[in-house]
Amino acid sequence: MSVASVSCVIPVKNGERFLAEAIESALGQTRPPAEILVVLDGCTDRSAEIAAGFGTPVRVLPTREPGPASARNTGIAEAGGDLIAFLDCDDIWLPDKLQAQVAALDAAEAVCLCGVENFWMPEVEAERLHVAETRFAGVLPGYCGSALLIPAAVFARIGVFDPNRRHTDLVSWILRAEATGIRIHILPERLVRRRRHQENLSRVSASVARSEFLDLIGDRLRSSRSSSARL
Amino acid sequence: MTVVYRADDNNIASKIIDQEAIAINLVTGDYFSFSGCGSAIWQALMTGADLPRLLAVIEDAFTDVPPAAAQQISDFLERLVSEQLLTRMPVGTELPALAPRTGPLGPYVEPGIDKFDDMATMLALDPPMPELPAQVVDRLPGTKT
Repeated sequence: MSVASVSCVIPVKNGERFLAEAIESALGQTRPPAEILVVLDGCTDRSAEIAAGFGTPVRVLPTREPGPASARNTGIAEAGGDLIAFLDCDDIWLPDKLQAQVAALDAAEAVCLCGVENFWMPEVEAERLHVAETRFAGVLPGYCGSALLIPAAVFARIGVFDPNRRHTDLVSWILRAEATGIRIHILPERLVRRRRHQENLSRVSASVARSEFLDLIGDRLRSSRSSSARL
Repeated sequence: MTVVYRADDNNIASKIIDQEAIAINLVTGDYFSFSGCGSAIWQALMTGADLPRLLAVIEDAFTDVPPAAAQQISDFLERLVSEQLLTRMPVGTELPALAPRTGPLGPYVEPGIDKFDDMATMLALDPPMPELPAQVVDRLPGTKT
């Protein structure tokens, strides 16, 4: 897969504060993406202007439907690369991220994740101190958008993200991929920095996010019991 | 005076789905489902309860509650504490009003808990992190006022 082209999809909802840093981290890759698709999800701030200011290979487009999953799906539909990588507009790729993942992705029918490290903006310093002794302070397996590298062929095979899931679209997609026999390859090294700040989606709608994850787990338990009952 | 326990809202997310309680420990990523009368007990613990209150709730909600139920519920509480799903409320905490009776749910079945860790890594990044307890928010720098 070393000659494969990579499209980078950045969904944005009012991300003017950190968007430029995210785009710069994609452009600064040792193996840069062929294109960067910034998908605007109802932005009312300067996100479009900031993204457009970079010029080629950054392309700015509106989402077809609202919501983070739909914005990613818009990017998938528009992407021309063999591989599609996602980057949240407040996160940062470390320079070797794409190179390491593309090298590791030696089979077309696989998905590659990588290690992710949280970092905290000053306004949420209290949270950093609170979780300093927990797993959240270390490098975590990257079950988040910014760590994903997925062959376009896999989306063609198993479909795109569920637009009805606002917080669990990625995890539910990965579970679906696993259930279909897609190999999930996780690079352990830290290649993504995930920004914690006051406006994180999971923070501003925490109760909704928790409820959605509980529904996902409920579905998983019911599915597992149903499978056991059939054995 | 008996100890009042309550579901640890800062570190635990839980929900009743089709009368079954499901909980995630946001710190560890482990998740739990409750069987028997465990979901009814958990529901009472979401607002706070002590052992006598739990026994009253169960006797109200289920038929054929055996004498051994008190010990079984006590053992179940200990398991919840050992899994760090509960927080011990300060001495003197008043119990909330009893929820109105909804009718018998059926015969009593000993409470049980199943623990799963198969999604621990998946649940490390995307669900909201454990919330800061109010006393921590007051104490630490960098907190919005």
